[in-house]
Amino acid sequence: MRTTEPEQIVDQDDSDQRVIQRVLAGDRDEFTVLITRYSDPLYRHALCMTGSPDVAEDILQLSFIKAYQHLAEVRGRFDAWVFRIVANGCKDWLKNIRRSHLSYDEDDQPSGYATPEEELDRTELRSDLDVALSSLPASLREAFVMKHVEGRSYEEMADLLGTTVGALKMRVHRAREALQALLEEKYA
Amino acid sequence: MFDDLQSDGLNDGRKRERPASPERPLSDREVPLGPPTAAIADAVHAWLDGEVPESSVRRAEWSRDVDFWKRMNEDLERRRRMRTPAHVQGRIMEAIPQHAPQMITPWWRREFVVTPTSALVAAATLLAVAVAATAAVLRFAR
Repeated sequence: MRTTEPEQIVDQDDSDQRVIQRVLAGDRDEFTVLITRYSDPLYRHALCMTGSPDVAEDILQLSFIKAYQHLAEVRGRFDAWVFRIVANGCKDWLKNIRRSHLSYDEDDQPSGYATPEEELDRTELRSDLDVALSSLPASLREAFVMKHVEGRSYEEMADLLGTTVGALKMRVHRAREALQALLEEKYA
Repeated sequence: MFDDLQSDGLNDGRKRERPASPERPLSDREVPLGPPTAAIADAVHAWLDGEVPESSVRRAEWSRDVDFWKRMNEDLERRRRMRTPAHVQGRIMEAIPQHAPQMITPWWRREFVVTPTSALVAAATLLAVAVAATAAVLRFAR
């Protein structure tokens, strides 16, 4: 979602602003540029937070609709703003829903696993990690997903979530320790 | 995660110092209680954060943790490659309004037009309120 080169961040942000201006001027189709640019990391976040592809799609759709309707109010970086909409959507969903089983479809990428046994192992690991992730409190899960799935720096996480680097490190550490306690007997 | 797995950088083994920040709000220091936890060495956390190379955690007492997280990374790596299903973009574009987004201005910031009629009504209302208030004060003063 965000590059690590400061100049590229400025360029991307500037480009987002130009796209937003075109959409506000009436070029509705330009909004697809923003969807294409940011949907993958946002979808990954929603999917890892909710564990359900259908719910992740719904949250993504509602978030982009909300973003479109309030596009004139964007101040600062669009990607950070729309991330907060998605993250809040996930938290609202988690507050209201209790799930007993988690699963999601394969991604479009080739698996790279050669044998059926390896494929079975992979499916089992995925399922076990889903269940373990779902047992974490939302704030720990969110921090773990942002760090280990989205690959964000602690500084970027702090900026997006409005908290401190120290607090986020603590959450990620707690999440790792909880996941390891749940899964190490089988996978260590 | 594992930003620096292949790094050959040096690690002096010192524990990282945490900057003192007593002014932080309490909410930032609170971590919700969750499931039971396993103890993971600070060095292993630092490796998982990409702050030190794998060579610095290749010690017997941490090998179980390192192997565990390398195994977890197999699945996390797959999650990092996940893409939005192709149909979702079309669904979103169908669902958004056909008109351009409008600035929603709070009522107190909106411009309003004063017509002669509305000015007369406002003046009459103010006069009535003033008369009523004066009458109430005079009655209270007696």
